[in-house]
Amino acid sequence: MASSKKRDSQRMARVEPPPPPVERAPSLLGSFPAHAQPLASGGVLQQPVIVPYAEGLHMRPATLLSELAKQFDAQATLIRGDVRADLTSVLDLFMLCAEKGTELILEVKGPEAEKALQALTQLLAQDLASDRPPPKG
Amino acid sequence: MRTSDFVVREAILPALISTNKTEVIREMVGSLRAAGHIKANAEENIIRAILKREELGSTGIGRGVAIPHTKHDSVERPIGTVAVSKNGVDFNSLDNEPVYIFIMLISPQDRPSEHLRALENVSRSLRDDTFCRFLRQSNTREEIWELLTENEAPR
Repeated sequence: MASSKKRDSQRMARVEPPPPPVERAPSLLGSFPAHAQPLASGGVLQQPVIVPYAEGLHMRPATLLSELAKQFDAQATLIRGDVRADLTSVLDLFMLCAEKGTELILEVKGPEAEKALQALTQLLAQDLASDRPPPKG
Repeated sequence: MRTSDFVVREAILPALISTNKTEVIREMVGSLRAAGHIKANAEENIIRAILKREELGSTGIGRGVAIPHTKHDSVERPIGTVAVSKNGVDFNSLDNEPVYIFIMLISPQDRPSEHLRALENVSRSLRDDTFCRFLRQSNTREEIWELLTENEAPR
């Protein structure tokens, strides 16, 4: 009886869904163009993005992204290889050391994941965030 | 890039006198000038550039930390300094909390990758609550330098 239960539990274990594909991120780099549709798996949305900022992901865009990420009931992460940056943390974003053209994975989960992904992807598509003040006139 | 590659040891300020944003920036740039790493004739211009950058949005990023910075033609490589305020300074931070730890960074205009590597370097330390606590408790330039460099790989 006990061994039958054990076999049942083993069978159950085999059919459980796989965990969210957080470890798959590095293999996605370069596999999808920036305009690819988001991937959805296990409630986690992923979107490849390419850093558009001329001076890289420096303080100004990092601050804007962080402030935007805080507006949603969602957990957003930017991934570069094995470095994962919580989008609400400017210090985390600096750890990506992402120059213009760097390929990253934007990963979002939570109740407002879709809205957050859309807004963050939009901001990550614009080079609007130079540290230099706009020219006068 | 290591911390000791851009932080000027002689310009570290373990106890800021200043109590507001403009004064803090003046005191830190003045310390870099006094240490001989900024030309006297560039000092005012650098102060103005850093203040101008602050107008775009505070570099007070929360957790009691600010990273005032600018890019400027007068430096040939990234240079910076670290300052600690014992009482905290209102820096219009993202979390509206006072700032106790200031990391100033001045980079050449055309070397964004070095600027990013310097930010990455300081972030690695600043994400560590214990590091920030020890930094705030430091009383001398040497104590701060030791903290900043203790985990650096040998040259």
